[in-house]
Amino acid sequence: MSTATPTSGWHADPELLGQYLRGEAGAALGSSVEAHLLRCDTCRGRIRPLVDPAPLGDVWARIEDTVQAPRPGLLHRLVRRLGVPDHDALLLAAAPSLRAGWLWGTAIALLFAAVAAGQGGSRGAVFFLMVAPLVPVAGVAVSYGPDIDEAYEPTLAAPYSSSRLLMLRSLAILLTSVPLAALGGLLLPADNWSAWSAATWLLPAAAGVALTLAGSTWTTPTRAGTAVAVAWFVVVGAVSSPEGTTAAALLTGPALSLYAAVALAAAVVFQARSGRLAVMGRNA
Amino acid sequence: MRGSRGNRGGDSDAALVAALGDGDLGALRELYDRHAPWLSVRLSRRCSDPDVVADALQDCFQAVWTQSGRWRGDGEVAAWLWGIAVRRLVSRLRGRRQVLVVPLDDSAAPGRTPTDVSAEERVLLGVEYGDLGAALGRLSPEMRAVVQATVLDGLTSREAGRLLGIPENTVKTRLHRAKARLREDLAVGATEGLA
Repeated sequence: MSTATPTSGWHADPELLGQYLRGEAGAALGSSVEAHLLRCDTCRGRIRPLVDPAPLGDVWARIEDTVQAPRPGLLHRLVRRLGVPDHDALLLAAAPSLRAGWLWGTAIALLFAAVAAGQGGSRGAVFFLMVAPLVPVAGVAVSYGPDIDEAYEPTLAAPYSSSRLLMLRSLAILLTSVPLAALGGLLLPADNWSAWSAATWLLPAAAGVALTLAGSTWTTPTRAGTAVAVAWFVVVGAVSSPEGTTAAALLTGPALSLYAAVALAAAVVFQARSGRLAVMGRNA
Repeated sequence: MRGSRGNRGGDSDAALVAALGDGDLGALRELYDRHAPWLSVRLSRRCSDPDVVADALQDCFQAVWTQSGRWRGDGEVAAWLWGIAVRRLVSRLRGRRQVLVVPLDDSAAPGRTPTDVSAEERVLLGVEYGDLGAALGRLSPEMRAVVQATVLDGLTSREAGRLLGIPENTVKTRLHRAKARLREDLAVGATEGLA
């Protein structure tokens, strides 16, 4: 009998659909109803009034919200792919220093610095030495704050730790700008000290970033970063002789331990004063 | 709610899916009105947690919205939707230790026989003769769940395992045994019927 039943013209009666809905149809019968529903618009229409509309309305409201929401940007989606939670990804993506324009600017500035270093011999190396450690510092300086961050007011009002936000963005900036600067360092002519300097500039960079972060607990990151940059230019300018040879002293043993000590001390200060970050915007 | 394009009631499912590509929210609404009710019932028969079912339903229609281009234009839109919905359910259940699966209804309604088991399903089960409904009813709930997930819902062993909260290999073993049981059962039924 079942083998002879045509698949068109047959429809589930309300009693059968009711049984299926309540889970009272048997295994085979339930599966049969399901197979039939895939092909029969009439029976799909008959089951509609039997289903509770309230949960379906809720689900539709959520669908409508989601599909009408603006599509997250490329960076936001990329960061989310890496396993960063959605809200963190959004805050990261809003960082000014992670914009394409910023990254291009960094790359071009470093390229010019490296080319100038290559052309200018030992004096050029000083030039690169001055610029490279400041790239991460500048990135951190424009990562957060009332004068630069479009999302500043929303994040200030949100129940989200400012120091966590600053650390999160600083980390992301280091991950993007340090490889760029390292690449620039490799373009330097490999005489006796510049090959080594391609890596050792990371320590002054770390000290600069830590100082900027610590300074951010007093003033805005932009001002702290500017102060660190000016100080660095003064130091490099003071120790450089016209021949550029003594600049190498900035990247040798004693100086390197000094950078490490400064980085450590600044990190401690930042940790101790990180609560002050929350009120940063008010006196800026 | 219907959007500015007026009533879509007369459009076919396929036409509605095609309209999704142009960002027509009214078409999505009409598809939802037509298909969400039966999809939610069918999903509820696989998972008794209404929140998970609602999430899967939401995922399904969001996927339809963003990936309507994947609709190849042949076959039933309903079958396509079910394929998406059940896989969304499986991925919602991924990683959950406590999976609440509804056992298939044990109370096989007496006096009723399957009227619309398709030829494809019968071939897949290796069933030619005999009372399929009764034979399915005699399987243990675990085996029936495996048959339903793999043969009737078209999931892979891995997906079925996630849905049912058991390892992939267990799905294969149970399916193998279930098929053997069904063949055996139906062969006996057929000989008895002849006698």
